Amino acid sequence: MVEPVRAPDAKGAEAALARIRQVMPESPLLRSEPLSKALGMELWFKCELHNPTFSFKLRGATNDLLAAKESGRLKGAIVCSSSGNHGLACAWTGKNLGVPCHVFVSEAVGPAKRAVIQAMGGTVHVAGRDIDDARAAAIDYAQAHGHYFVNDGVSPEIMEGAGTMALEVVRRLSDVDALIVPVGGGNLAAGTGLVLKAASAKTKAIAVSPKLSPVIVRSFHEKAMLSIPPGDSIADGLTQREPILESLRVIWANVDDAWLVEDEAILAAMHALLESAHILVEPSGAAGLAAAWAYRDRLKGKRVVVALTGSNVNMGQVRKALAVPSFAPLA
Amino acid sequence: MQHPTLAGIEKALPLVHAHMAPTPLVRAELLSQALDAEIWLKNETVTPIASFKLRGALACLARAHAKGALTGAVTASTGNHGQGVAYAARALGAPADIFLPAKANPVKAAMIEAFGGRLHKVGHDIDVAKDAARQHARAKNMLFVDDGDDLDLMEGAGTCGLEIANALPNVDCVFVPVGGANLIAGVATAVKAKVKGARVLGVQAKGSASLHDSFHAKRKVERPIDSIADGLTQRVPPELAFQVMCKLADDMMLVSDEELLAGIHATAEQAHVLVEPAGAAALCGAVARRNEIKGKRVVLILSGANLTMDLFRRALDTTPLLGLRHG
Repeated sequence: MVEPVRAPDAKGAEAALARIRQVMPESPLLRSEPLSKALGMELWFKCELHNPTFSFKLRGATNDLLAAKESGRLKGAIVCSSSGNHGLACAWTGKNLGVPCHVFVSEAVGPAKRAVIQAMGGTVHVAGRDIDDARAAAIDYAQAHGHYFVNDGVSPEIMEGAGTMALEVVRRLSDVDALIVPVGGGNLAAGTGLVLKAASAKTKAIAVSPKLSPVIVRSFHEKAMLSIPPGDSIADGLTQREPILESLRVIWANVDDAWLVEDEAILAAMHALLESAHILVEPSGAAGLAAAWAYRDRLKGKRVVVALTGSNVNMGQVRKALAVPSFAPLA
Repeated sequence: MQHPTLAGIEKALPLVHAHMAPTPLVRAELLSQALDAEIWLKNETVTPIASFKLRGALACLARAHAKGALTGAVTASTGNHGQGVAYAARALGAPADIFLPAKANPVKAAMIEAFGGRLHKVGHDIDVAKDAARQHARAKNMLFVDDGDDLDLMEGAGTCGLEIANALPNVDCVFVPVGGANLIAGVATAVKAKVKGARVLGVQAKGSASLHDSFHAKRKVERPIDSIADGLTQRVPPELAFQVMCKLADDMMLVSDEELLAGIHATAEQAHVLVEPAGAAALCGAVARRNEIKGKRVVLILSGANLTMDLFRRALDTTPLLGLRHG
């Protein structure tokens, strides 16, 4: 069932971290020498790649589902909607908890991603042409069957869970000038902003979207809930037609800036990460580095942490990235 | 010759962790399904130098530093060890001179320089470069860190095995890439001491089979080097690594360059991790032994990720091992 919710806060991120630690260790934070040099800043990567579902989404899903279990709200099966990684995270967590999980995806989610969700134990339902359609179908399904809906974008536990990434960063590294995160639905940007305001006020929270899916970034700057049909961005995890008001409110209040990047820059960033940092990411996971490159003049000499949010990539996307020149060729 | 011990590896662990975090050990769901086993990936690509070699270099240089003897470090390396020594020396505030064969991997060479190492390109293979490095160290009174006969390096590399044994105390089997065999010697020392009955299997490149052939012949044999896997090559087995490998490894196997390329492809496609050819060796070994590991808890050590994008493109042109049916 969908229930009214409380607003997320930084304390909730602390509680979330304790829950998440039961399932996943602290994620790696690595400084890149070659890319620091190429971009003219002290560049660190927060690598949300090395967990069983390949993305930061496991934080929010774990926190939401463990909190629901603690409070007795986790009844029936788990239902969620997703462009991929959130669905994987819910399916994997459901499998670990011994609870079936139904994942609603749009037609835009390819067969490879669907197969992986199934491999992680999820049942896939294809509904509608974009993530917003899939979400509406998932809510209907959960209500009809009395299942638990993982309310991505609304649930404070998901935002707080996503915010644990920033908590790990500021506990590990002092004097961070900026933490750059990709924004799709807005959970990570919201959670990051909340945590930074409370735990490291001097660190700017910067949210990045592809130009082809600019709705959150433009809604941020225009202080209005916009609706913009997304184009066909390579960063399939960051496409969104409408913001969700709950997470957008948190973003308005806590995020410092929001930038757009070209798909070409995202592919160049994937290439640079492969060649110069030896890290494989999905296009959505490279958007932060693409922004650090595109906005390098504003970040000059700063200590910058870029969140590499996922690596659930297909080899077609990798080939595309290798066909675009890196902005930091190594040799 | 003094062999590595669990106690020595346990002492090396804090020296290593002072400058790098424990590496991820992640259950790989897709590979587990494909191999009908519980497959875990020990991801040594997630270090500041993208290779396990940092462990040995940190342990070795930190011990010398603690004795007050570290004026600078010298080594010869096909690359990853050189990066490790350069990084560790800088972390401890000392200079590093790194000798490479003339045709060394340009990515690895560039990375050594990025970590502050001074490059010297000498000779046609690693053994020639090694002689030059040894002379240089003697002349300049610097510490020569041989990527072979060095107990500290081996115990440092063994911290990888200790992390595995601590995190998965009931592991059945560990697949380890083998070049000079420090990694397998150190890992086997830790894993065998901590986990009763665990098996440790080594994988070397067909085109550079000196450690493999020496293991099976029970004596050191020299072999030429012809492989894309520059992390799996060694012409002459180092004595200490040879002895420990013969004592502790359960088996050694060979994989072809074609298999390694297909393994890189599979690792990217199914585990979403970039590896160099040596880093794919453990997966290739597990695929070759898939009947033996069925139902077992298996760790694959992904030893490093320093490769050129040309080589990665070649890997993507192969049919991947264990190809995804829905890809």
